[in-house]
Amino acid sequence: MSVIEQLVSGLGLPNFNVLIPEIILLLTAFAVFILEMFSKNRRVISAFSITGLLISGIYILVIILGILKLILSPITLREASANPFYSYILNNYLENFVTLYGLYVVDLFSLVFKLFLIIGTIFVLIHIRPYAEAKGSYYGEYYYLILFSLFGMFIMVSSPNLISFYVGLELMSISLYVLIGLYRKDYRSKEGAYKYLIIGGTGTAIVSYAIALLYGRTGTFDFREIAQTLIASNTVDVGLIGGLILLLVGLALKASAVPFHQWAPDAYEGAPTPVTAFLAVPSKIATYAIILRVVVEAFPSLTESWGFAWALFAAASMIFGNLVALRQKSVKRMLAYSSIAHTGYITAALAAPTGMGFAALAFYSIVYLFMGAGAFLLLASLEKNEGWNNTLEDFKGLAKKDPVSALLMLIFMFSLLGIPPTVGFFGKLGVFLALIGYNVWWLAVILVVTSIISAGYYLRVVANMYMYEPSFKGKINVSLVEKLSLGVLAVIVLILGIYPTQIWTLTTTISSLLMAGVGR
Amino acid sequence: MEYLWVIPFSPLIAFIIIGLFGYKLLREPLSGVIAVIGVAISAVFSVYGFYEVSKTGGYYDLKLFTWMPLGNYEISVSILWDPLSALMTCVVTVVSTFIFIFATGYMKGDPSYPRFFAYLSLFVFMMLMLTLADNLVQLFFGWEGVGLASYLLIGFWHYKKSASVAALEAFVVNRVGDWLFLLGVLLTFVTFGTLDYLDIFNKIPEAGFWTMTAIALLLFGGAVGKSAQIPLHIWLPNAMEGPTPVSALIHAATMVAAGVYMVARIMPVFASSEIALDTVLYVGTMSAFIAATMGLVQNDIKRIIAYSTLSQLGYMFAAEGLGLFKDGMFHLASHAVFKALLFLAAGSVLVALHHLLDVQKMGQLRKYMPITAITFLIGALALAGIPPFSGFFSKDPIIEAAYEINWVIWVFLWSGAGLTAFYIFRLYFLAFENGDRLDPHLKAHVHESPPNMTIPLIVLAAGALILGFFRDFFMNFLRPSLDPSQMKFLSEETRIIVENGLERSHHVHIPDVLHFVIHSLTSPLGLLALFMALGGIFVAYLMYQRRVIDPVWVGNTFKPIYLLFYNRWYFDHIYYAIFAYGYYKLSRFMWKAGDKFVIDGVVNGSGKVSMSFGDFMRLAQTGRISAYLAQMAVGILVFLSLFLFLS
Repeated sequence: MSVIEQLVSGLGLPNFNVLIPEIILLLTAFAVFILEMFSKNRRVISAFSITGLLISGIYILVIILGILKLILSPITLREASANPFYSYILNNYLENFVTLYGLYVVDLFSLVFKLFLIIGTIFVLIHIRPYAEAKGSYYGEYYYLILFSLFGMFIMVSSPNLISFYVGLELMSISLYVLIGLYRKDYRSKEGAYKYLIIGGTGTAIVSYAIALLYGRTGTFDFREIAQTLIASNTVDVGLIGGLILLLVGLALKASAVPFHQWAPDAYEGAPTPVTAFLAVPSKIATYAIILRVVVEAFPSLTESWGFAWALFAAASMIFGNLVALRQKSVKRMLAYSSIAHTGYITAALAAPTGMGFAALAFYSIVYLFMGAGAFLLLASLEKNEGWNNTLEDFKGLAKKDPVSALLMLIFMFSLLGIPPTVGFFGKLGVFLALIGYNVWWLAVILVVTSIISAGYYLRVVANMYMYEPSFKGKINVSLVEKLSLGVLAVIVLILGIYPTQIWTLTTTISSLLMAGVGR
Repeated sequence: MEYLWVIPFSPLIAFIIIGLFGYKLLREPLSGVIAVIGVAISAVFSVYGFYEVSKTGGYYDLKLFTWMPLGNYEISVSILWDPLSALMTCVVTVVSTFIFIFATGYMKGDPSYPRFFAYLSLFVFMMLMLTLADNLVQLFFGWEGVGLASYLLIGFWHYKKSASVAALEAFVVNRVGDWLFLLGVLLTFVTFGTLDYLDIFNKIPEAGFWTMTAIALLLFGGAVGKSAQIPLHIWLPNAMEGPTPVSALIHAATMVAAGVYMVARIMPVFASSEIALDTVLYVGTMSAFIAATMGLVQNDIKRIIAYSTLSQLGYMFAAEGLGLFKDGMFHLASHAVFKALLFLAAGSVLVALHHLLDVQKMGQLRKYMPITAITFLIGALALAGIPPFSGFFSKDPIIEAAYEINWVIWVFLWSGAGLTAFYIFRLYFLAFENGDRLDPHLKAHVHESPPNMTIPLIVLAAGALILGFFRDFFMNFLRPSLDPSQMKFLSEETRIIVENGLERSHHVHIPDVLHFVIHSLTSPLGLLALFMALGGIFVAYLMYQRRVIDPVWVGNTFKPIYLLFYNRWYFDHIYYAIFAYGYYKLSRFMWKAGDKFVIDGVVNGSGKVSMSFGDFMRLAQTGRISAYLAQMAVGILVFLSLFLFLS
């Protein structure tokens, strides 16, 4: 049944229970919006937004644990319905989880990604006030724009439908355009925002054209219905391939995969660094999630085409990102290219369209959250110091001036490089095993070779920190709160590097649920 | 056997406690005490486990918890407790305990005292994960972990530039080996679909000869890096920049022996390929001989012992390559004891002499430090292979067996034994006897080390003295792990393959301890070996004690050979030429290629130029955004045409 028919026949109210985290998030965002107009107390605004996110996050965490309990352990239906908590989950999350008339889906997949998006955003919010104040460009807008952008990501990961996907993507992107430019009197920031706006706008145009083509070919926006139509007709024509490829190009652009990455280094470098972290981590993860959902749910019959397309994107991103990163003198820009390379590593998993591949993609994108956010937020903390420009030169001798920051940076660099016992190793290992499991040797070899190349620039930062005399003249002062939040990220990187089982099981579960299309 | 889980986790807990509270609460003596307690608990449990397994000779595979499910295979953290792992675990924990106690004295007054013991405990945890693993992933985890700990400890005095450089060198060289090892692990997984040793062993008949050869050689590549065998040996002598207890523990007794242990652990894999066994044999023999020649002419007290470590590890690999896995492991155990002893005695000397390393500037130390001198002498006699010290019972059987298998190998191992005896006694005579060359300022302060340093020396010396007599016990003890006819976990087909693989050593018969002593003192072969060792000592005596032969004259007469040895066979020079210069060339090339792209904005279109001026309008006019869009359009066209017209 189409959306309009459902509305017309008045099937009643959508299930709002499953939307509680979104509602909390939206209320927080609006409250911050109003609060910011009346209150000048910056700590209150920051604390309020973080609290809102925490409540929403804890709610999601409880629901995820409940769902996992129900599907993984041998609880019978009868036992489950006797318990009010389980019956609530059973009724809302295992049965009526498609809401808003088929435009919004709250399954385990979306909940897991939402949880980690919230975690990443909380870390960004912790760092944004000290950074913006030190740089003299504090605006209350940071908070609600980030929250609205996060809301856009929620819609994205929860979209079962090209239209809601499009709405979410735009909400996320437009908030990001403004956020990148929120740097007073800094032209690089405006330049980055402008470039991202123009190129992102082009990307939007491409995606809309793709949606139009797909609708014209299949007569529906719904992922599952697209899949059914395609399987039923079983023909491949220009409209379908054109629509699919354009959609992938649009998504690749948002994920900054080569050759559609041009905006990323400029936007990353120009943006205020915590915003860069937000741009490089949560927004990317939401994009990887929707990429995974679209290709698996809407185009299961075309695995060969999109698998190959992503293999090409991934290979180009890994080679290009890593080679250009070698040549950067600014660590921030280097990390921007490293983020392009990571898009390559992560999407490479799609070249192996198997449960293992999807699990590897989800796993790597989730763990990338901790190491990516850690690296960028550490840069933000260091950048607060007068005269620090994030150049490789500045990092020389950091271990002597500030051993804690240097150690944290070392952990994040090792994890991005993929050295055990950091979690980055398992991210790469999962993708590698998925690739060789599907016999995509050439891509696996590229992954390994480019990872080795990447040692050149990650280890250079480490070597500069530990093997030189300090060259940065100013004082280095990273506040305790920032050290604590970065320390938490580093510890997570290490703990997951030693015991990744829980996250791995979780991603394996969501990948198998996604493939089975449970309940849809 | 449930209690075995205590063994690896007790040092881990010590590490966590010291890491969290080391600087704030525990500080100097307490962090060391906690580390000693942590490792002593593992030592007690592992010795008890050793005792239990020696009674039954069985094997226990405890799965502690699942680590990561991979399709049908689940990687788990587990403990495989059989004679082989029990022996290795005991060596690691017991030797560590004494080295830890020694370190509480050695590191006294160091501002980073807690950090040192935190790293050491972390090292022991990682090492135990390695020795106790029942699968290659856990082994690799420990393998990388000990590499990391070693990196941290070599560069422990990071304010010394040479220490940081040595740490980085060790790290980089080990990466080469580790990449090979990782490829070997992956090839194993692709071939067998499992990574548990026991399952791999039983699936060996399914794999082809060349697959097995490739797996064994790749894994051996990792061992070459970790155990510093030629050609990846260059990092170990430089690793002596770390504190001496680290050199004793990591770079002599345990971590560097991990390669030897790994080869023995997966012995059936190596035994199934003749090429792999031969490679192990030749690499080991070459290292044993070449490293011994390098040790002849060094003047740094720790480096001499480091070259002897390289050389002795070569003997262990040679034993494994000859098919004498049990002898290789026994030599590992006895080497761990006497080499730790030698290093700790050297450390005791260093403390007394305020870290003076040059043996040419020492002399007559025996007068001032009798305990250190005597224990060092015992260690040196053991290393030289003089009966009744442990080295005689562990090294000479390898040399004699080599004669019966391959006399070329025997020539190298036999002459290597003479060189070994020479260089270690050169060190002994120069440092502890001979003329009085000490700086008078230093001499005033030289004194024997405190008891927490001398007691470990005495205990280890006692070990070096008596361990050899237990040779028969160890040989029988290891049989259920390394003798195919008694390995209960092998299937019948695998057993046949392994027995065929080890055929080369079938006709070798090494008698029991008593008969071995008699045999060595009566048969020509045994006397040859003994005289070689004694001859080495005698020449050292003539040259450095009596000064009958002038070393300088010898050096000048055989100048080319002297230079070859002194420059370590030019390995470092060659590597420098290839890698440093090659890297320079490559980076120049990349720089040119990269900059051409970057500046022209063909691929990258970096906004660097415009950014430095940062003018918004100018930016729009440079056409960069339109260049970006043009690139995007090209990209879309390429992709669309690729899929529309080619598929």
